[in-house]
Amino acid sequence: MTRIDDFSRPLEYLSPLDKYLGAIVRDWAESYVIPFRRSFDEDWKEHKLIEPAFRRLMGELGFQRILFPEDLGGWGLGHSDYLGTGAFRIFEEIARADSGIAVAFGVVFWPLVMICVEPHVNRRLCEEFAPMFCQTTEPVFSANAMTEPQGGADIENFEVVKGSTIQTTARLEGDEWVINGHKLWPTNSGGVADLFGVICTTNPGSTDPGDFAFIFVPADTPGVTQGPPYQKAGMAADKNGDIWFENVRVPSWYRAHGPGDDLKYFKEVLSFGNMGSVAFVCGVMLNVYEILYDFCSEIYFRGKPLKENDDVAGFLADLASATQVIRFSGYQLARMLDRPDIYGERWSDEIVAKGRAVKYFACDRALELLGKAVKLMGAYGSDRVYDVEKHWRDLKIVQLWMGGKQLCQMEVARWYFDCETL
Amino acid sequence: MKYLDVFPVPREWLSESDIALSKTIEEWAEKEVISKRLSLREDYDTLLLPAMKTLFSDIGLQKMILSPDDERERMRFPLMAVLACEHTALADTGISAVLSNVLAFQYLALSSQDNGGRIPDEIFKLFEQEKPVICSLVLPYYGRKGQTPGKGIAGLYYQVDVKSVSGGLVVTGTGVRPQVSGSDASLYLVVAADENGDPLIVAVPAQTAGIMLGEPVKTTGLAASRNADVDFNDVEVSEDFIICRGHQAFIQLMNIYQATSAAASMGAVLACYAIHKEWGDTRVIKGKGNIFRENPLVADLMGSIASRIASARFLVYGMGKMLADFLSGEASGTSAFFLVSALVTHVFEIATQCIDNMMEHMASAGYATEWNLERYWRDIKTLESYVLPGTVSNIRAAEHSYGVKTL
Ligand SMILES: Cc1cc2nc3c(=O)[nH]c(=O)nc-3n(C[C@H](O)[C@H](O)[C@H](O)COP(=O)(O)OP(=O)(O)OC[C@H]3O[C@@H](n4cnc5c(N)ncnc54)[C@H](O)[C@@H]3O)c2cc1C
Repeated sequence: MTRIDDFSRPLEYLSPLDKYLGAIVRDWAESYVIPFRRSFDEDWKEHKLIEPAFRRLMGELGFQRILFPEDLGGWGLGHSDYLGTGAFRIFEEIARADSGIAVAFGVVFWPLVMICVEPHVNRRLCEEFAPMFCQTTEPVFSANAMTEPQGGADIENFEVVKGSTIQTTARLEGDEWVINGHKLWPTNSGGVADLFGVICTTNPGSTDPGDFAFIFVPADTPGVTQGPPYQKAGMAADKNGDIWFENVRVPSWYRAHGPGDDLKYFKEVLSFGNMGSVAFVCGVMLNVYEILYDFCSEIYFRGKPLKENDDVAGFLADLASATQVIRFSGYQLARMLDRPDIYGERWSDEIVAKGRAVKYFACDRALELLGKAVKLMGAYGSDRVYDVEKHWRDLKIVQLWMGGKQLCQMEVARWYFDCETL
Repeated sequence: MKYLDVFPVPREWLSESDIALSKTIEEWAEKEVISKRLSLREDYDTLLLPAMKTLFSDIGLQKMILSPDDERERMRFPLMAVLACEHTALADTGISAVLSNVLAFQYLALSSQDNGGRIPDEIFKLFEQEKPVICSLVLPYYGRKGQTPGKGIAGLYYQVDVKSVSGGLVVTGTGVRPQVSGSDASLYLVVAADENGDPLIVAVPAQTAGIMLGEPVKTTGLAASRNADVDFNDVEVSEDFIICRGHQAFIQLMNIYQATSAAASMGAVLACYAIHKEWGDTRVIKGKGNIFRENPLVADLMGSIASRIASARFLVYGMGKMLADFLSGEASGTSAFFLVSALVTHVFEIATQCIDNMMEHMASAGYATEWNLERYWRDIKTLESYVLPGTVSNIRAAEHSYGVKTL
């Protein structure tokens, strides 16, 4: 019996479509992902098993179109008041099956947030890129290229480092940007991406917000080279690798908004990253709950089902209550992104800090409990058949990415305690 | 890396031969595993098996005390075993986990001899082979509906039945999950109930008729231990293959197995410390020129990691020392048992949390195979899950310290 829907969400926040979208994704997950996921680790390089799941969800069912305006073939979520909560539901459902797929899927929209979302839609760029995503049934991927070899955290730590460490440069030559640099680790790199959102500086070493540039680069532009995917502890469905930009030329209007606004709206990208991360955590927790429900009913200890032992039940209660709290706070965070009129702009320091707070709380608590779940299950916990260990491995990176826990702590402390030098 | 200087343990507990052993294993680790793992990754046939052969058979850890000369050294076996497993895990936690099973057998054989028992030649000979001998413990575990928990084994269930027939024993069990290397074992060491319901520990050579291996179990880590569920279909062995019997023997088995496994987790965490330190020495954070380790928030966590490692290492060697004292009659078995199961839980918690924290610092590098940290992270989580199902050890500790009686 699946009882995950008994974990409450604030129903008054949800879009009328929530039910239908959720059901479609759950169906897809049951047929295309869950039966195969425990072999995904061996498939990390080829994606022979993983690719059909992407194809179905993104291309055939058309989910890769959701953010683009309707008149351009999209589903118009970028104009909707349900962007946050709608995305949360979809991400959560996908992550229940595989958080790696959820990440790869979520990042398709991550750079597109810069141009497809009200109130800062860049209509010309939407028109430019919509056909790529909306006029095909093949899966199309984007990637958000921030991290560089010298470090990812500093690039996100704009308040202190102010973009001074960004080494990927954009130089305006006539009506073209010329981009040079080396990025690594973006989700959907490793040969997957069709479109990059690239964070560059127009003046290396500068701390001026106007020199921060967010520029779109189609992956087939001459001078772009993607390396092979890296092998890693989990998240096989997400490929990550190096990308080199060597005298890459794109039209000047491929810059998302221009000096000042690129940075401003990039912070909104971070807010969506935080919200998405919590949704991934939530989906994983729901599935671990389902698995443990069955496991602890079937396996016996002291002459009764595991779950009927008080000490085990104490842990199960911890897991359920954390799942409930994370789900509530995740939907609340999503709602805050849906209603800037009530909660403040998505790119404000306040919303970024609150997103970081929820994200690192959810990650820390979930990983602690997943670790305990693996231990509770004994030798079956580290056995891939039960999928709990996979969720534990996959989720670890959600805690580490976007600057890691320490950056989250610093941003949270900075906002809540008015710290000035962190 | 001079681990003994950075995270010291009481020197007076270690003999010259311990120090020599640790050097030998460190050299083996560097030469046979660490220098090759970037290219060979976790490949069993090209990296892990040859490394096991060198360590177990050529260097001789598989027969450390089966034919010992020096009585004093025999008594110090638990301390040596802990040291050997810790140092082996510097290279690979999986090899160390396999070793811990081999050493557990040796320890039981030793105490059995001390009690007038005799290990059959057929089994002795296995250890003389020029290939690694892999023992695989089959311990009590969770059960299924309809099964009855074993008597006095903390609510767990025996995985196999052993019945006496004329002149021999018949071992049966389906879908039995060994602790390590179900697929590659040379010898299973199974724990079952005797006619009175008390533990009986029997050696079953893997070549015996009636043993069937299931599909390889895919696990989070421990690539050196290729596990599989095993069916024992009326497997007949001689009564001579009973290695020990009784609760005290079972407790000894659990003690040495858990203590050496905790030592393996310690080796893993020390190896990770070296990786983390190297990374933190040069990484820059918060803008140009600011070395990672010099950041106060970072240093705060580093300090906490270091103090946890230091205390866990003390505990691991303390366990070895207590078990050695017990062997030489200087301490009581019950208190050793309490301490080992309580401390093992604690050591594993420290080890897993410290590696977690180090991975958090190293971010993508910590998660990437290339930096090798993640393999220890997966390995010790796997080992922890095998060694300590559920809440068993806490309850044991509560039995000893608070007088809990009915659980
Ligand atoms: C599966 C996966 C997917 C990823 N997806 C993307 C992606 O889509 N796009 C992208 O650009 N990158 C991506 N990354 C990279 C990821 O975001 C970075 O790893 C992360 O931002 C940290 O950067 P880093 O690894 O370079 O570590 P560093 O920047 O070197 O940071 C290391 C550590 O420093 C500490 N730290 C950070 N800031 C501070 C501070 N202010 N004070 C004290 N300590 C601090 C933290 O512990 C942090 O973990 C991905 C990585 C993985 C593994």
